[in-house]
Amino acid sequence: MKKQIIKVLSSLELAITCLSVLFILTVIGTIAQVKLGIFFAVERYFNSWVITWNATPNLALPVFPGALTIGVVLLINLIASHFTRFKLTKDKIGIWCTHFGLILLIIAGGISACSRYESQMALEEGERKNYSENSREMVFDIIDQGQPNQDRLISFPSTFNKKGAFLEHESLPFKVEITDYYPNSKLIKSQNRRTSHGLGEDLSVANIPISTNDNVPNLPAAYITILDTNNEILGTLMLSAETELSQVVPGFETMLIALRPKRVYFPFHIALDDFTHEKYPGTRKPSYFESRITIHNNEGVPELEARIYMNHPLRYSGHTFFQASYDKEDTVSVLQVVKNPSWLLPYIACVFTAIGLGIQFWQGFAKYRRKQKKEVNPNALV
Amino acid sequence: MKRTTLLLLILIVLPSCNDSKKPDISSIPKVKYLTYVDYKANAESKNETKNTIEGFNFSPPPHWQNQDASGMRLLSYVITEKEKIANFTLIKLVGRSGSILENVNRWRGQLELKPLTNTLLSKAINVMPSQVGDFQFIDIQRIQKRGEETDRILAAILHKDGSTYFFKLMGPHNLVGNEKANFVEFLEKITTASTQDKP
Repeated sequence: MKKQIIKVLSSLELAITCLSVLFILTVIGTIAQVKLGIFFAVERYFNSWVITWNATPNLALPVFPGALTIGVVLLINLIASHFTRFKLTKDKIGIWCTHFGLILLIIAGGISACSRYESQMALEEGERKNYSENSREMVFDIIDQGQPNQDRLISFPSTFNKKGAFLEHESLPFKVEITDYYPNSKLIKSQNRRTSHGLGEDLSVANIPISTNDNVPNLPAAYITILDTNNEILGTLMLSAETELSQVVPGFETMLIALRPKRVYFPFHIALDDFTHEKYPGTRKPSYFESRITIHNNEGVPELEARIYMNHPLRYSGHTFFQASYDKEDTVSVLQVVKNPSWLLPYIACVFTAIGLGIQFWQGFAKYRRKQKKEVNPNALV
Repeated sequence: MKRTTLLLLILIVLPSCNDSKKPDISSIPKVKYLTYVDYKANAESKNETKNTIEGFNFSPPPHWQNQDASGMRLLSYVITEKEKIANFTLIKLVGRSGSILENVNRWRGQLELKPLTNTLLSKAINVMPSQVGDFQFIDIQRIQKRGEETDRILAAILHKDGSTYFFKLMGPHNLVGNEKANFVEFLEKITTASTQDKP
C-alpha cells in the first residue's frame, strides 16, 4: 500500500497531469482577468487552494484545484520522484542540482504567495511620508494619542471586516462591535441618523456592488457600536473609507478609530523632490516617469538620494519601490512598494538549475566524446 | 533522511502562511489626523464655493451633491435616491474630440446597446439652444424587461471656442428619468461669466 502511494506520488503521469492542469488554470485565469480585473483573478485562481462555484448564494462547490494545490502536489511529486529514482552519484550530480533548483523555485513561489506584501505610496511633490497603504486591504485602526512622544496603533486585520465581529484587545479600555459592514459603499444624503456621534448627521451609507476594476478601489463603510468593559453602550459611529476620516471614540478623547487602507510603516521617511512624466508627442500615452526622492532617517537627516523610474526600482531596507503611476495632473507620484522576504530565492533556484543543466550537458558531451574517440582510434591504427 | 527532508520543507512553507486574527500593535510618529471637525468645516466650505468654472456659471439643483472633480472632469455631482446613485460629469476636451456619432455610440456601448447609424442618430438627437450655444442632446436608454435594473444616460455636447464639452448624467433608469427635467434646466441655466454680469 505504502509502495503504491509512493509510486503514484512519484509518477511521471502525476507530473504531466499537474502541468496540464496548471496550463488550463493559466488560460482560464488569464481570460478571467478581462471581467474580474488582475487582482481578483489572481486571488481567485492563483492564490487559492481550490476554485469554487457558487451554486446558490450560500453554497460554494469546489470545481477545480487552485494554483496553490497544484504547486504543492507538484512539489511532492518532484521530491518523491527525485528520492525514488535518483541516487546521489557523480553521474547524477547534474540532475540533483537541477531538481534542487526546481524544488527551490516552487518553494520560493509558495513562500512568496504567502509572505509577499504589496502596497502603494502616493507622494505629492515636496511631501514626505513614512508609510505606504494597501487600498486592497481595508482595516480598522485604533490610534491611541495619549502618549507624549509617539502614538500607539492597534490595527485589526481584514479578517475582522464583517458584521458581528468584535474589535477588542487587553490594552483597550473599550471594545467595538461591527454592527454593519459594507465592502463597497457610497455616502448619500439622508436625514435618517443612525449614529450618536460624528459622521452620519446628514449622511448614510448606500451599499454598492464590489468593483473588480483594478483602477477603481472599493470603499467600505461600517456602523460600529462602542462598548465599555461592562458592555454598556458608549456611542455609535459611522466609519467610511470614502472620507479618510479618523473619529474620536466616544468617552475617550485621546482615542481615534478609522476604517482605512492598511498602512505599512517604515523606519525612515521618503520625500518626493521632483516628479517627471513625459508623454509621446501629440498623445496622452506616457513615455517616461521618474521620481527623484530623498530618504531621511527618523531624525530628519537625509541619508540617500535616488531616482526611481521604469524598470529601475529602489531596493532599500527590505522594501522595493517601483514607479507605478501618477495622479493630480502629474504632481503626485505613485510608488508600488513590495516587501518580499523570498525575493532572492528564485534567483538562487535559477542558478542551481542552470549549473545542474550545465553539468548534465557537459557530462553527456564528455561521454559522447569518449565514445567517439574509442570508435575513431581503431581506424587510426589501420 | 527522506522523511526529515519532507518535514523540513513543510516547516519552511507553512509558517509563512499567516492568516492572522490578532491585531498588530506598533508605535508610530505623532501626526495630525483628519477628524470630524475638520471634515465638517471642509464640507461647508465646499458647498459655499461658487460653481464657476472655465468662464461658465452653473446652477445645479440643491440635491445634486458636489464631488471632487479630478483629471479631465471639470464638474462632478452625485444624485442619490434611497440606495440608488446617479453620477453627473462635465468633461472638456480640446478640439472636436471625435464625431457626435462616435461619442454617442461609445455611450451606447456602456449600456450594451448596438451602435447607431448616421440616419438613426439624426432622429435620436435634439438640438437645444441655450445662452452659451447649441447643445446636441440625447437620451440613451434600453427597453427594460420586467424586473431588470438597467442604466440610462442623458448627454449633451457643446462645441465652444475650439473645445468640446460633454455633459453626462448616468445612473439607474428610473432615477435618471426623474432627473431629466433637472438636467435640462441645468443646461438651460448655464451662463458665461460675462453674460451673467450684464444688467
